[in-house]
Amino acid sequence: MVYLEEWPVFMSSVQDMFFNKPNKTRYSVKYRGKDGKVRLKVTDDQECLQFMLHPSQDLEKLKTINAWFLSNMAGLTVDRNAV
Amino acid sequence: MVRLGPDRFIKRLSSLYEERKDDGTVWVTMKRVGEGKKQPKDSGCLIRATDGRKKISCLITSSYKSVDFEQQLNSLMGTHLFGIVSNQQVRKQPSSHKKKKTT
Repeated sequence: MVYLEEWPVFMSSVQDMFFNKPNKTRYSVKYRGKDGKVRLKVTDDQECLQFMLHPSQDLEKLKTINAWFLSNMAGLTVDRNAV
Repeated sequence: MVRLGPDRFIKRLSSLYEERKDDGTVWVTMKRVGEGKKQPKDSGCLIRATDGRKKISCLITSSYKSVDFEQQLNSLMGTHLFGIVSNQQVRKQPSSHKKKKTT
């Protein structure tokens, strides 16, 4: 399992994964109360992409990815540019 | 797994984060529910949350206005994950201007 360091690379890889397999891809947010770490994970059961958020700095990133997934998963069609 | 409406899901997720803020882990997972061998009644985004013991879920369909849910979810995560309060209420301190009489 790979932790990606750069946000644009992570988002691009995530979008590619979802575009290729929209019904297999799932996105999870793991919050650990002990140390406050937030981990994003996107997987299609074959490949796994992970990104660690930094506390109090990356709320906008979380909002962006939440919005993208909600609009694409709840919508009828898959749109790479949907936000 | 308890299937909830969007509003109740947000409330239960908030309580999950509160219970696990010092110790424990909370997972929130989103998955698209669509075509397949087993045709679901509704298709959309299935959101699940768990702390390892309790499990809750909610289905956001295309007919539902997901913008409100998205805002509530972002506000919730901002508060519990990042400690950011979205609407800070400034409490007005009661005025207590009691002049002390000095002799």
